Amino acid sequence: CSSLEKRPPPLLQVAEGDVHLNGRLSIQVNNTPNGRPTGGNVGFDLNGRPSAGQLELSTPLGSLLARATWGGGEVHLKTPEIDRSFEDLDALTRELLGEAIPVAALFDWLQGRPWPQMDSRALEGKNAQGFEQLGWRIDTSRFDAQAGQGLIIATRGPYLADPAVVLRARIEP
Amino acid sequence: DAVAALKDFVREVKSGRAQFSQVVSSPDGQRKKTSSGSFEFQRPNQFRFAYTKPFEQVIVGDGQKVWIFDPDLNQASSRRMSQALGATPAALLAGGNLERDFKLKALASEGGLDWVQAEPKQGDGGFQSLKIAFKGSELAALEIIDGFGQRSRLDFTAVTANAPIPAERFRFVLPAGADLIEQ
Repeated sequence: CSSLEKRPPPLLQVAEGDVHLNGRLSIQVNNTPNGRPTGGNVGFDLNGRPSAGQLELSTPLGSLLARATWGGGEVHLKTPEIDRSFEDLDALTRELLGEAIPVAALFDWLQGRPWPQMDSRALEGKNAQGFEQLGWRIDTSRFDAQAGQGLIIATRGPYLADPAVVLRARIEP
Repeated sequence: DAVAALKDFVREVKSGRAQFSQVVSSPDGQRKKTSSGSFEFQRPNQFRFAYTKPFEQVIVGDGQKVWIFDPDLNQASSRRMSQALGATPAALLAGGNLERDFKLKALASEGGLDWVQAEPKQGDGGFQSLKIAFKGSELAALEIIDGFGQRSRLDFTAVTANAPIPAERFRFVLPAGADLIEQ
């Protein structure tokens, strides 16, 4: 079982070069057993770095829905219903969003660029703008890297026309 | 006192319209997010929060479901009202059965406003504290402190009580091409 015994969440250790990204994101998971898409739209605050950070999700009215913290080998999720550790961020995001999301890569994806730790390939096609990485297609055509704001759409296959997962993020400056 | 003002508000004000400004403060108070928009409601359980700044977003309660639509993301989500409303800020403002959902306690006046603490009777609703304030008999403010200690305060202005509000304001129509998630 993926839940470890109850330990306090790791404290967010702020460090030089930490990233702070916020805005709104929606996730739609289409490949569900009963065929009905799941997901939703929330506000987000992503702080820190791949090795230690915090992701908070909130409602438009400002209430926190979830806080994920990680660092020092600990991965923890607190929501109004649960407060427990996970083996890794994939397991945590699968519980929280219904799909494993590569949080480490998000720190770069949400700035409109590939995660330098892994290979990536630029999108091909006339108006295509973005890249492919870790099995995801990241469309940055509506993102202004200079201003650090705009829309980023990440889809995971198999088919572009009918993706299994769509993650849309509107990043605010 | 403020509890009487709230009870009168629920009994006598069957619909209303107002502008609101919202400040969300992180638990440590370090980070604040400001937004504003308009609020409309019709008892029981119909409401519309239309955020206009810093971005557009709408929350519609049609009496059966609560819909959230984000035009930037072109994504809507809906959930059944019983699952969503319960003892929530929207129920406090637009609900039809105050005493069934909340235990009420008058608090000291503060900032020229008369405050009421509303404690959810059914479960904890995920809130540490839910407070509503009146200026005389007029709705003035709402403050929510959630289970994490995050504080959200809405201040209402240009309040019009018992304003006739067209029914379609509480109907959500999914824009063409937008995605919908039913939770």
